[in-house]
Amino acid sequence: MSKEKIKKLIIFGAITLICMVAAVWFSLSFNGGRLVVPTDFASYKFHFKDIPMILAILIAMAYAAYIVMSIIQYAVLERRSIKDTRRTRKISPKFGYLGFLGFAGFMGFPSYFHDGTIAPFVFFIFFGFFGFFYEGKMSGILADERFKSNRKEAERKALNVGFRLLFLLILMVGFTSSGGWLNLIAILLTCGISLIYAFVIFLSEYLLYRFDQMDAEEWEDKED
Amino acid sequence: MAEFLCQLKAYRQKKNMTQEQLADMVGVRRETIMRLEKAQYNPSLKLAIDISRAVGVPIEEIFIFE
Repeated sequence: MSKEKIKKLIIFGAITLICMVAAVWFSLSFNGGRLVVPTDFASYKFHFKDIPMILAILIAMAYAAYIVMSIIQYAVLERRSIKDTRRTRKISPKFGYLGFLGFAGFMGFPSYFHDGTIAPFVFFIFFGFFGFFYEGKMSGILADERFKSNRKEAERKALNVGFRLLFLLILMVGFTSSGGWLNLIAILLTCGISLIYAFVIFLSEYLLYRFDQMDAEEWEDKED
Repeated sequence: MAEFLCQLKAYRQKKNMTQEQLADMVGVRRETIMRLEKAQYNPSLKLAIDISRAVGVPIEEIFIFE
């Protein structure tokens, strides 16, 4: 997003905030807090003093729409520029540290013992973000036909491994289900599928990097 | 992958081109040209034609399939 666009967003945001604060102050001071405190719109009757608050709400909605439009416009332009330049997306390898968010999946154990919730196990998927370490190393390079072919091969191999692991998981669940432990099955499937998904994401990035950098010393050869 | 001999390096050197220059001309990375010269990458028909035009030599003289 251009600096000018960001500047506009900040300025409009500040104007919206000022309008909202002023309208809330007016409503609380002179209008009994109408449209600020929870309002029952079934019995709502318009008062002239409501106008500042209504205007502030309209401005805030317009600003929200403007932000959404700007993001969509940015995403479309970004995609078009990637298509035009045929380059990989620019991303810092430091995003790989987001992979540590995967440890949040272990929150599933206390939450399960506390109230039987197993949803936090899904956070294991974030381990897949470790793949950014490798994607970042190939950031902004020309995605020529060899790179695309390598990418397909890396994805194929990663998915192949993923499906094998999934098969093993289902086999394991099959044995467990004979005991009738539904909770254990649910935990196994949630953890297992999340971890496999994360592993496939990571592996495809790692393999792509390996294929691309294979025989790396060759790349350092001097021109003849 | 079909095995082949690649004479690209010789023809490129005759034209006094570096790998980087050839890569820029045909829209690939230098590493891809290096792989091609070592016959470790089987190019698409389009890339083969682009290379052939860039070095001014027929495809069948650059890539020799046994």
